[in-house]
Amino acid sequence: MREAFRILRARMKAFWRRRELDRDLEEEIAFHLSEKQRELEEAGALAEAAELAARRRFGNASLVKEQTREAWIFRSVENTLRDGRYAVRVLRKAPAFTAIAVLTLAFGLGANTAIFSVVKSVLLDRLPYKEPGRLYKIQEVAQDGPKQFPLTCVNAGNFLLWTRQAGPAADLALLMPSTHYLNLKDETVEITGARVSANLFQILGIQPWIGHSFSPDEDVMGKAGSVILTNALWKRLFQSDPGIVGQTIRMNGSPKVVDGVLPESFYFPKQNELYGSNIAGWTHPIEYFVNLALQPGEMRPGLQMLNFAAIGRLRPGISANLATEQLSVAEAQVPTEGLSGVKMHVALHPLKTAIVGGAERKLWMVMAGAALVLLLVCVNLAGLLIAKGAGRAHEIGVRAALGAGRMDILRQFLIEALMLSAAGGTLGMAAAYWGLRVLVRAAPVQIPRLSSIAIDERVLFFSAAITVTSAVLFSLVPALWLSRRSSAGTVKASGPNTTPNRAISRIHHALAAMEIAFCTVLLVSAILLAQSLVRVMRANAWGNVSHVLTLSFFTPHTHYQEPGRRAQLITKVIESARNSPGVEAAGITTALPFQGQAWGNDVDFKEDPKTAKDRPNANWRFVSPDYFRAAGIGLVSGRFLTGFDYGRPMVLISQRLAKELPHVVRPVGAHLYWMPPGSKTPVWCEVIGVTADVRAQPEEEAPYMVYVPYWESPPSGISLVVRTNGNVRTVAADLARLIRRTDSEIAIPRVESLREILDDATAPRRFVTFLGLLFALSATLLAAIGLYGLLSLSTSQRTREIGVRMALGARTTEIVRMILSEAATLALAGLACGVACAWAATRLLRAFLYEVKPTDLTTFICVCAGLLAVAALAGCGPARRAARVDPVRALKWE
Amino acid sequence: MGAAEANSGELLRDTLDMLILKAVEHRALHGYAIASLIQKRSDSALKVEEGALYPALHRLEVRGLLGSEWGLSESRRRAKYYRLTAAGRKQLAKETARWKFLAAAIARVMETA
Repeated sequence: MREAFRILRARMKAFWRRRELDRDLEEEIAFHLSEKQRELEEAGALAEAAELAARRRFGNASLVKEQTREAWIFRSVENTLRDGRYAVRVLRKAPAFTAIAVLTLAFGLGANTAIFSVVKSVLLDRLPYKEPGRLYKIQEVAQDGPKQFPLTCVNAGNFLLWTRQAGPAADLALLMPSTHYLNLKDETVEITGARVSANLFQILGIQPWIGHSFSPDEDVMGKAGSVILTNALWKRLFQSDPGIVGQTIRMNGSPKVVDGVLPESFYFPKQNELYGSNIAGWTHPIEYFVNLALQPGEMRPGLQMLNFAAIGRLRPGISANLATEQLSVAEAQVPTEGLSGVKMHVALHPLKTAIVGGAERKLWMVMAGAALVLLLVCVNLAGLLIAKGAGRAHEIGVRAALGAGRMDILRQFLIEALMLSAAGGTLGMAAAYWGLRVLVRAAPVQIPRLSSIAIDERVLFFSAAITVTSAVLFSLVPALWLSRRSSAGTVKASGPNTTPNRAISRIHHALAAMEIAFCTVLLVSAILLAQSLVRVMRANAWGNVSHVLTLSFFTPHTHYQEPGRRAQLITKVIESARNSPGVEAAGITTALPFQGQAWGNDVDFKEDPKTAKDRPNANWRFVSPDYFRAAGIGLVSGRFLTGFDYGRPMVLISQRLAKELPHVVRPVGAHLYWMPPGSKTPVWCEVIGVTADVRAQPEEEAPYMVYVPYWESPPSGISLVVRTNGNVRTVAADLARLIRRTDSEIAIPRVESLREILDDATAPRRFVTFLGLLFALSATLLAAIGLYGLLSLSTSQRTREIGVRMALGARTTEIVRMILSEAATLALAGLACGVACAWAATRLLRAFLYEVKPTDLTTFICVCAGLLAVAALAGCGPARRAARVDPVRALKWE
Repeated sequence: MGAAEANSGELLRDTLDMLILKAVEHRALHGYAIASLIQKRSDSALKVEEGALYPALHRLEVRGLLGSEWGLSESRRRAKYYRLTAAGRKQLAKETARWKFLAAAIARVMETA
């Protein structure tokens, strides 16, 4: 074993010093000869005779050298190098083939490399925490009979019950995404972060890069006086000043001491990932951590105030099941007022699954699409190699006649394939490196862990593996066939009229049909996705959303505690916005469309009283009268609010909610129960109008909606919505300035058009659809190339037959029909197979389709027609060439 | 090619290897000197073929049993000197023991016959 290693090392060293070793050997043998000669001379021989005798005694010097050298070399490496040089010559002679092969491989390998690096970074890599396998996200689950309702968020009071119970099983951290206003010297900036319990960093196993973590006495009941910044925030807003640690900064107008700055490598899920929702408006990064500081109101156990997320680290030796059991004992004590018969327990999800689970299927689907494209590239190249091989039979025959064994020829082919594949792989890697940046920038924010995507050694290994696999895949069939033929006497037969081998021609046809089949699957999938996208966009296309601008901001905490002042501010902002140039209508709301459900609460109609359990749960929005006109939400019946209604308790409801009322009750004029915050006396609000339904998420049915005028409860989080005359950018800048002028402590508002919000919300679907279409179109191109290659070959092989036919009076159209019918037969065979596969495969797509059946007939018919057209197109060139065959020349060729 | 033939070739090669190792046991020698030494010590009974010597030397060197360096010969010419490495010395001891055992066994068989 040791010796084998020594030999390997010696040979490796020798490999790099081959020249030197050859020179040494030369000199060594020359020395031997001269010593011999000297000895003979000393024995009395003449110089010349001695030299001759010495040489004769030595024997064949070059053979000795050859045999000696063998001790130093890897036979196979030397042969491989020789084959490699030969392969380069062969490939250089066929530049068109080489270019197609390298480019298609580069595309296939590059796409797979890029997408694999996304899959690896998002799905496969461990979370960058200490022992991440023990970290779990904890969820509350309400069980009503056999039905379960997992709650995405956690109540802090319930969490406190767990901590009392679960001490020995797990360490638990509680957190809640938050938005703060950071008051800098001359401006106020909105930042997003989280309120967290002091043990969070200890649970994650993370230490601040500078400064220290929260101390335990700042925990749950603490004073909220400290903040820890992420590296990104520290760089952006504090110019990487290490002196900031220990200093006091102002957030939401109150002082906070900076405890520490986290390392640059620190990763934390985004807001929506903590809650396990895919709402586009919640995808802000967590950039700071402040103490949790629970308010007394937040600590009451129950099923309200579900605003928190919980992360737990299991103690060593504790299984997730055991922890679930222990925590569920505590959870069972949660009071479920009003919801009789509901049993509470908890569920533990591995933290990684909780974060990336939503993206998992999408990414694997894209990966499968990319893999299919690469497979198609390989099938295509196998076909092209067979076509090319038909012209190389002669060369192979000569090589076989000169003593090349089957293995030698197989190796030669494999090396050619490997060189193509390596060139394609290298090019693909460069493309992937560049493409990945585009991909990450274009990828929807909803995909978790995007920032950690990079090409690393595992990606390189994957890339190398698929490069080699592809080479074997596409060269194996042609190589086996050609090397077998080599044993026959192909040296004699030559020229383009070599009779096509029936078996290989059949394989070639099968490969081309296979390409069409793969192509069918990809095209059907992509078109189903595209149709879904169109339908989603159409379902949300009310009004002219690109002309609607939204500016979201919070009232400063300092001097707007009193609701009356907030109402004044809102009135002022709306008033001045309406008078701005370019603005057609201006209103406010508390939650924008497409940004998820918010403010869910029961609706209790006076005319249709129900028990708490049966009441519809609606989203409540606080709006100003002109909001509907500004956003473009239509009126179904009744009337909108007007400025004259100011101060009166009245509401509008959405059409779906109105339909919940029994037929005998007219929605307009009905009353619903509303408890103003901070008030003890409920109010019956009159419904004055019914509005069109607006979705909270583009692909979910619109929630029940109740619109309450803002004066009933002036909100602090405000979205100003304005309808512009089209000049969105100028109006946006004007309005942002206007809002800041109203009160300089208002942070720079977040400005988005409704169109942008809709685009963000549908980004994952558009992303997947785009990639699907890209793959499908490239697959079509590949299939067309493959078909063209096959038809060209078979046309040239049938030149003589065509000549004979023409000589016997066949017309050009008949010849053309002959070639085209070959194309059609192939395409039909491929389609038959492809449709069957697609029929089965699209079932897997069901979860991604929107109002389209996976077996949508129109889609299948369109794809079939389209591919037949492509086949006809691919047959055009060869058919034209066949039609131009000169019978005299064709027959003379023999 | 018969198995017996291959085996006898193997034996010869092993024997030559052993002789070479023995030749450089005490001091480094160049190829020509090794051949001469073997010839002289065997009273010209064993002649080392040059065609076999150099492949054998290089094989032993690759296996790490011989080390080599360039030095000056008695005739003031550059020559490649081979010397025994630690691994080579171990190998030589093994080979010697095996050889003695084999030779004695063969001798016993031949004498009784």
